[in-house]
Order: sequence, then structure tokens, then C-alpha cells
Amino acid sequence: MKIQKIHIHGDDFSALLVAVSLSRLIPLLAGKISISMNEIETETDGATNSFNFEREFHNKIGLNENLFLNETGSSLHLATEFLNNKRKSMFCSPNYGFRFEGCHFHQLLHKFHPDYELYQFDLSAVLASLNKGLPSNRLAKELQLEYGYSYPNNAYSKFLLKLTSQLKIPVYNSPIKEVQSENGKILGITLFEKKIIEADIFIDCSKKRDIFNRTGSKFYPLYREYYQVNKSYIHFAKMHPADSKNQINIDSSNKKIIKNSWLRKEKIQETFSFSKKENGTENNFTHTAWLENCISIGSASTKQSHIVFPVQHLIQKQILLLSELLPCSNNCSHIKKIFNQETLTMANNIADIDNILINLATNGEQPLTENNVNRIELFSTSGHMLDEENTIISGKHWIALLISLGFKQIYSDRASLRSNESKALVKIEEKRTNILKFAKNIPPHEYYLNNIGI
Amino acid sequence: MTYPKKIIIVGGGTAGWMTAAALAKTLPNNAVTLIESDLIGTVGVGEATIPHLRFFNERIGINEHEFMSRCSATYKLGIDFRNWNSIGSNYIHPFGEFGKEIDNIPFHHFWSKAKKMGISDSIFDYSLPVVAAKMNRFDYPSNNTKSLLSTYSYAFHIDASKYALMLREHCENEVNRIEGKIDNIRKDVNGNIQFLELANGEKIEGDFFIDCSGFKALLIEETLNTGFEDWSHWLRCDRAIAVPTESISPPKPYTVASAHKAGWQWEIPLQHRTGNGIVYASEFMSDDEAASTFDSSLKGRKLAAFNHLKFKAGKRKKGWKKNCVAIGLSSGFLEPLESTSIFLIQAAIMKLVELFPTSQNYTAQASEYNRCLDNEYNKIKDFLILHYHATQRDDSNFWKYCKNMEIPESLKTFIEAFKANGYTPKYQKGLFLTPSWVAVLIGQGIIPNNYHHNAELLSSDKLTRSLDNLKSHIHKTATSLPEHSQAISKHASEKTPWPAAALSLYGVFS
Repeated sequence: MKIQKIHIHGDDFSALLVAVSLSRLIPLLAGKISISMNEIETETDGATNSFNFEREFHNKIGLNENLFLNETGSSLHLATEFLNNKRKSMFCSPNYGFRFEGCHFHQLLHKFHPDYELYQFDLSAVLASLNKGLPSNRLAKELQLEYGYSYPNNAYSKFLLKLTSQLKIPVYNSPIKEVQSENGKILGITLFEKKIIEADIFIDCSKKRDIFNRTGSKFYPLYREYYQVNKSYIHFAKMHPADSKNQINIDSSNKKIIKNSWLRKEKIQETFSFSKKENGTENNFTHTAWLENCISIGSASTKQSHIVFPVQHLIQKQILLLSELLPCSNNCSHIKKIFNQETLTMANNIADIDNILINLATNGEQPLTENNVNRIELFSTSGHMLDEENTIISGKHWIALLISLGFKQIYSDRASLRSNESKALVKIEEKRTNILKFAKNIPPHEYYLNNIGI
Repeated sequence: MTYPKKIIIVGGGTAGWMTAAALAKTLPNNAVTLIESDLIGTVGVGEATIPHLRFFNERIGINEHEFMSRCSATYKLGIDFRNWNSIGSNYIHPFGEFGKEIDNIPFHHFWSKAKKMGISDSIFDYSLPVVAAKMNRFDYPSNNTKSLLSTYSYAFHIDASKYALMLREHCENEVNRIEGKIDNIRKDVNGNIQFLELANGEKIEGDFFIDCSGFKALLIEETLNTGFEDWSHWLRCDRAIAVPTESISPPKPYTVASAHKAGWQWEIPLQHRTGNGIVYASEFMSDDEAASTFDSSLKGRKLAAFNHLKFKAGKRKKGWKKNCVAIGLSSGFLEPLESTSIFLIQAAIMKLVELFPTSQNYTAQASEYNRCLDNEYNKIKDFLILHYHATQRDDSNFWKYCKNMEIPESLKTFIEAFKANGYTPKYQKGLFLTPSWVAVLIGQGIIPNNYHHNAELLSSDKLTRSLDNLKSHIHKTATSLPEHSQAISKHASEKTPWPAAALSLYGVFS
């Protein structure tokens, strides 16, 4: 079998992440991958708050958690607190509650205990509310835990750079000067440092689509009619490690969104503001993330604000998909089509999540996407969620998201109407107190961070 | 009690009584009425099932031993497709897996590598349900996920009319059955169905109506004019003839689907008889020729006259419109090549129960129901077209048409991606997953040109050894299973606990 040579170009952690992950997922690519970078970030340019998917991804590529935490200086991200005007609630993991007599937990809570919050039944969110670390022992089956990390992007880049060096992946620090192509196929790229790179497949991870733009592919203006994030400010503040938090909070009030995350020694605040762009070309997706022998990944395939879901998750999903779709001859348009369709679905999903937040922040001035209108209507009239394929978060997680953002379910479903009330009430109370009791005995977040790997 | 309170099911048969039994169980606070007429026959050929039926039976509290005995059922491990790729070829599409995944890489990638190296046998030798079916053996799968016996599931061949009767008795205390023929259907000002008038003048009012009236589609089409999405340009067969015959040999644990020059024939072995049918495209085969071909192929004595059926492949544009949901043949028709008729009834019931309204505002539920059912229909449609299109046969105009027809873009993508590097669809919402696609794609002669990079990491010596060991382990395990007929008698007499059911074709716990 011919092992294809792959060149990856980018300007942040994306290119490094793609190179490291593909090398680990497909060991035969060793020696066949190279990277060119416009600039490697050395200054902090913001923080990433990832979800459990990052841990699953690390497992797949064999990345040790303690090493990752120590090298990146990550803190834990156990839940997200949403604030909207005077209302606040926690967006918990999809592990909340339990199934009872065929009834979904949120339906049960809606019917029998509307005074309780959904997050009180999720260990991760309860640990977040108490600012705790992680349990050191293996968890009982009924106590599942999901979490991600909060880390500074530059630290992540530095860590990935170390890994590329360990994997002996050549990294050229130079922007692209020229792209040689023929009928849309990239033959090679010339870097400013005069190096010419030839490869079978080129992966473009650059925010400005340095390679891809030269193939003539344009972003498709899907969200032209919606409000766009047109400004974002990042503010850093040093803090005492004892003040580090294992959650983030996102306030969507007064026509802006403010996101606070706590790293180990600093607090990062990002402020997003919006305006309506009639002919905007930003926040758009491309229909052709993979064109000829050039593949766009991350920001090169979809320009979005990524307020809730970090671009890392899109990249990670694209990498996993790509690792299944290779090897691919340049003639196989159908393999490319699968990649393009799935990228579009994931990008739409990420955009839908931010779309709801912006809708709330603008008091409804920002219209909801059609998918969101359907989701919210189905949820409010039945408590159910669209049964969708390839979504970035599960249906159960979507329900947690809508509840935490304050969307109300009006009617109970049939399954909850026929549930045994007294038994259900006992089980609900038992679950809530068990989680709380367990969480209270876990050491604080700071203690956990100081003792990683010991 | 919340709205809608009164549910009216129009039509008995398998669809009507499955719906009635499920609603009686899951919506105990609603009044369920079923109207059927002994004067109107049922199609009654839905006799081969897939493993999901076990899940349905379990949910409504049907005892599997009683079900086996009352429906004269036999066990089913898959479908034997004969003469589909070429005359004389055959393969079994099993309810189970092929080989074992290694580091999350599906087995067929390793098999493809071995095939390229010339060191592999047929991929079907690496599937326990296939090997067991060929040996005419069966036993319950194991719930020990480490055991080879956990790599398959099972379904049944049943007498569908007996199943409908069993369900009727199962729920007769909860369901009000009305014998009568519907003469008139009245709508309200909003276009919702308001009441039905029977031939005897009785007026039946309801809040929510379920159309199980079969091909007639009395409510969903004749009354609500929903429209039909015609798929007959892809699925050309539009006629069938069915007849039961005496069994001439012990029942096999699989359905036989043999292609002929303008369609295919089924053989469904029950305990007391064999169900037979011929499916054909009237444009390519006359009714007389079909009847004569069918007659000459029957192995046992006929137990009834030929039952002629006409149909058109496709589905209603909306399965749920206004206050009416169509279930069964009224919602659409896909030929029973992969035994999906009863599954589609079940899928519709389960979605309806999940989304059943609790208020008068149920537009969102209807739209979600239609989206989900459309998805099921479309995925099955693609899978059926694959059987016809991926063929070497060109011995008749029918097969030439099928081989050269334009196929749906979604199917084309699946076929080309599989050819390119063994990639299989990864959808979760839909019936047929990787093992089924692998079975039919390879069975129909489509072999991947390439395979996953990581299959290269296994040396050829190691690969040869693993394949040999796996094949002999499967052979040994299949040999140790009881004969199919013995398994039927043993489970009936010993009342052996049957394994828990799953919503999957591929194993007890998958």
C-alpha cells in the first residue's frame, strides 16, 4: 500500500494538533508528515475550555492526562455556568440522573420535582458548584464523571511542539510564498524561506486559508442574515492559585457575551459583541472542506466564534474522520464528499449552540436558526430533542444545554405521566443526596492541581 | 387524562394489532379502539422478521416460548441471498458480526489485506451466524461479551396472522375492538379527522387516528391526501404471489431469497409449513410467467391458492399528518427482501409512543416523527437498491436495467467509499450498520481496493495465523451448537430463559 506524504500548514496549535494526532493514529505515517507554520504563538492569546470529548480524543491518540495537565498548566473544566440577565444555571454533562420506568430523567424532574435543578444530579456539575478536584478512586457505575480542561492556547501550542519534536516531524517556521497548482490540485508550496514542499495531500489549518484560498474555493455565506461576533476582547488578570475554579461562566446579557475562565494562576475574560452583517463573509462554512488534494481543518473549514464549543473539538472530530478516510486517491470524490458533509454538519451544530446564546444576549433580536427553532419547539411541547445524526453533542446533552439556558418544557411526556410518583420521588432524592455526599468528600480543585501525578 | 384522549386504530392485521398492543401497554390512561372487518382480508405475508422484534415483544410483555409455539415460529440467523451477484452465487447476510475488531479497526480491513495477499478465504467463513446457519444449527447467543457466542443475534420466521391473533388476545382487555366496515370519514374545519361512520351507521369519534388500513391508506391518503413518494424507478418489482406449502425438510434457521430473471423468490420455513412467494417486476415478467415460474419452483404441496398482490415501492410524503399517523402498509411499501416490513411497523410505533402528544399542540412532534421515519425508510431503500444494482447479472432486461440505473447519490457515496478504502457508513440512526453493509457489499462482489493503514501493522504471518485460528474457532463453535429443530424443541420443552433483547441486528448487547 502506498503511504501518502502529507504536508500541514497553519498558524496556531491546529497544525501541530493535526500532525501529532495523525502520526499517533496512523503510525505508518511516521516520516511522511511535515508542517509549515506562519508563526508559533508565544504570548497568551486566549484560553480553551474543552469538554469530555478532549479526554476521549487523548485516549485515542495515547496522550497521558497528567502529562497534558502539567505541560499545559490546565485547570479542570467540570461544567459551564450560564448567566442571562439575573438568571443563572449550570450546563452539566450528559450523565445527569437516571432512567426510571422507561422515562428520561429530565422528564421525571419536570413532572415530580420542578424545584430541583438538573445539574444537581450530575456529579461533574456538583463538583463544579463546590469547586472540587477529581476523585482518586475508581467511580461506582452509577456515578459517572465527564470533564474537560481549561488551558491557555499558547501553552497548548508549546506542548504540541514538543510532541512534534519527539515524533521527529519537521516544522518549518515560514509563511507560504507561493502555491503551485494544476487544475485545482496542489503540486507543491514554496515557503518564504525558499523551501519547496511537495506532498500527496496538503492540510490547510490556517485561519486565513493560506493554501485553500488559492484553489478558488470560497466560504459559503450561510449565516449572512444573522448577527455576527464582530469584536472580541481578551483580558487577563493574575490571581492566587487558591482562586482557580473548575468551571467557566458565560454571561449572555445586554447585547454581549462575557466568558470567564480560570486557569491555574490567572483569570481570562473574553468579551464578544455583535452586529448584524448584511453581506458579511465571516462566520461561514465551506461546502468543500476537502477539494482535490487539499483538506481544510478547523478554522480553515469553518470560521466561527466558538463561544461554547472550542475549535479543538471540531479539529479532533475531523482528524478522527480523516484517519478513517485515508488512504484516498485524489480521484475518489465520494470519500471527500463524506468528509465535507460531516464537517458541515458539525460546523452547523457548533454554530447552532452559539446562535442560541447570541439570541439570548440580544433579547431575541438575533433570529434562531431553523434547526434551533425546531429543537426548542419540540423541547417545549414534549421535552424531547431532535434525534440527529453526527451532532457534536448528544441529544441528552442538548437537553441539558437548553435547560441551563432557561428554556422551559411546558408539557410532560407520556412516560413521566405513567411513572410511579412515590418511587420516583424516593429515587430522585436518593440520587441528589448521594452525589452531594460523594462530592463533599473530594478535595478542593486547588489541592488536585497541586498534586497531579503524585 | 390529557389530550388526545381517544385513540382510534383503523385496521387489524399485524400493523393494527402491534400498534394496539403497544399503545395499550404504554398509554394505559388512553382509550384505544381498533376497528377491523372480517370481510377485509389482511396481506399476511410479513413472516420473516429481524431481531428487533424480540425487543418489541419484550416491551409489551410477550413470553418468547409462548410466541414461538403460537406463531409456529422458527429461529432465524440471517438471509441466504442466492443468484444475486451472478447465477449460482450465494451469500448469507447474518444477524451478526464478521471477525473481531483490532484496535478499533473493523475486521473487514484485515480481511481485505489478506485477500489482496491471497491468504484469505471468503469473509463469510469468519462469521459465526453464517457458519452456524449453513450447518443448520442454532442456539441462543451468550451475554458474555468475550464469547464468540455473543457476536450474533436472532430473529424469527412466524405465521403473521397467528401473531396478529396473539397480540389481539394479549391486549383485548385494554383495547376496545369494533367489528365493522368504514363507510364514511368526516373531517373538522381544521382538516383533522373527527369521526368515522361504519356501514351499520355507528359513528366512532376520536381525538387521534392511526391508519393501519394497509395499501388502501383510507385515512392518510384517501382522506388527508398526503401524497406518495414513488421509488419504483429504483425498486422495479411491483407484484408478488404468495402461497404456503407443506414442509419437506426440517426448517432452516435462515430465510432464502433467490433472485430470478425479473425479481426474486422467498422461502420462509415455519414449524408446520413453508411460506413461499415470488416478487417480480410486471414490466419485465407477465403474471402468467411469474405464476408458472413460481409453481414449478415450489418444493412441497400447496396448502392454499395463490395470493396475488400488487404494490408500488415508496412511502407517504408524511406519515403523520394532522391528527393521523399511518403505520404499516398505509405508510409506505418496501419489498420484504431484508424482512423490514414488521421492523418498519415497530419503528413507527416506538417513535409514536415516544412523541405521543400530551397537548393539542403537536406540530413539532409530527415533524420530528416524519423526519425520523423518512430517515428509516430512506436508509432501508438505499440498502435494498444495493442488492439490485451491485450485480454482475445481465442475463435479462430486468438485471440490465438494475445494473445500469442511476442510483441515489447517498448510496453511490457509500459504494464508492467502500470501494476506495473499505469505509462503511457510520450512521447511528438507521437500521443497517457496518456488518450489514459489509455482508451485502462483499456478497454482491464489491471488494475494497484499499484498506485502513493500520491493517498494515499486522505482519502477514500474524494475519494468516489469526485468520486460521478464528476460522477454526468459529467452525468448532458452530459444530457444538444443537441442530435448529432440536433447539426449537429444547427451548419449548425446557422453557430455557431467552436472552435479553437489544435494538440491534448484531448481538445481544450491541
